[in-house]
Amino acid sequence: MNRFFKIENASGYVTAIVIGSSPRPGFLFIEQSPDQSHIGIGWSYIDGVFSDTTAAYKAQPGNARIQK
Amino acid sequence: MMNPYPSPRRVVSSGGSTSGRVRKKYLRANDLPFIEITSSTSLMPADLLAEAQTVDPTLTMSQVGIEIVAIGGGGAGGSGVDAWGGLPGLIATGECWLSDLDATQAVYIDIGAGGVGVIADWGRDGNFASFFQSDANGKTTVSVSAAPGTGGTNDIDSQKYFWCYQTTIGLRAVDPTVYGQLANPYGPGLGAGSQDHSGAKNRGGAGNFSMPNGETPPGGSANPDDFLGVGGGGDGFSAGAGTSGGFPGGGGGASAPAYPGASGANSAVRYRYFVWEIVQ
Repeated sequence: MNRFFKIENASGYVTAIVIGSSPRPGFLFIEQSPDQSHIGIGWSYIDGVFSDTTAAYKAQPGNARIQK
Repeated sequence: MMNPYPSPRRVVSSGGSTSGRVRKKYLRANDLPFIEITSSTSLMPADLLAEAQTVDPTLTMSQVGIEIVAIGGGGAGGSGVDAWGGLPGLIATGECWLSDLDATQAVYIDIGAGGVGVIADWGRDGNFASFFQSDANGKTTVSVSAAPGTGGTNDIDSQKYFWCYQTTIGLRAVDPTVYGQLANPYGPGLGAGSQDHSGAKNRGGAGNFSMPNGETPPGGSANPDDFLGVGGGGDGFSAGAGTSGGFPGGGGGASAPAYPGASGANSAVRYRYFVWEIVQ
């Protein structure tokens, strides 16, 4: 079963990695390729590029425990 | 003729028109004991009613209830000389009437992925499983959301912290003389550590059984006929790769330093329909 990044449109943050995808308002789903296994929650997807923004993501209330 | 599926609101009121004893009856929609979702999807309330109507086409939204169980994704095992297994996904349950849902809005089901292991590093966390709808104004109508397991670490202090964290949100501490480690007796199994110290310091080589009586063996998948079935935790291995957690929700076993920790199992959402039926 294929893994997808669940990306919040408003912030660009990867908020989850889910199995399968279906259209959902406010979210973008992008399939995770094998070379993207290091990309996880808290990364950003903006203009087609993933970048590691986990420090900023963790700083938001409620996200502090995101581990790695 | 008496309504065979009385509204529960009428049953509990005094002086209502419904008479006789009632019981909760589960419907075998699509001739299955329950429906298991293993890939993220969305459904309209009318889709749910249509499933229930495979049992009785006269059923209405206010007569049909839905029981939901969500099992979070398991954490991956750690990788290292003294690495620890991934923690199991947690379980959330809930129920509502189809008439409690907003008929115009979709129900979203997220199936969180299990965590993946990384060479010489902590395992990654699993992801949430959820069954969720909000109405047209954004107010939640139903939300059953199960937290994932955290990944296994390479140091005991961090691992203890994650145990504490998960204990507060649903993981259960059990009698250590019985199970040898902190576990979730009615939930998925805990991945084992890379060092084979069975029963000591929570670093057993064998993954934790997912059920108190060992119904699901280490790394094994849930019985597919069991509405509340969960996966076992994966075994750890001190000289190679551990084994993955069992579906759904099992934590991955820890691996030796040159190998990535074993994956946690993916999450799942299951649901089944019920009515209140007049017995006599």
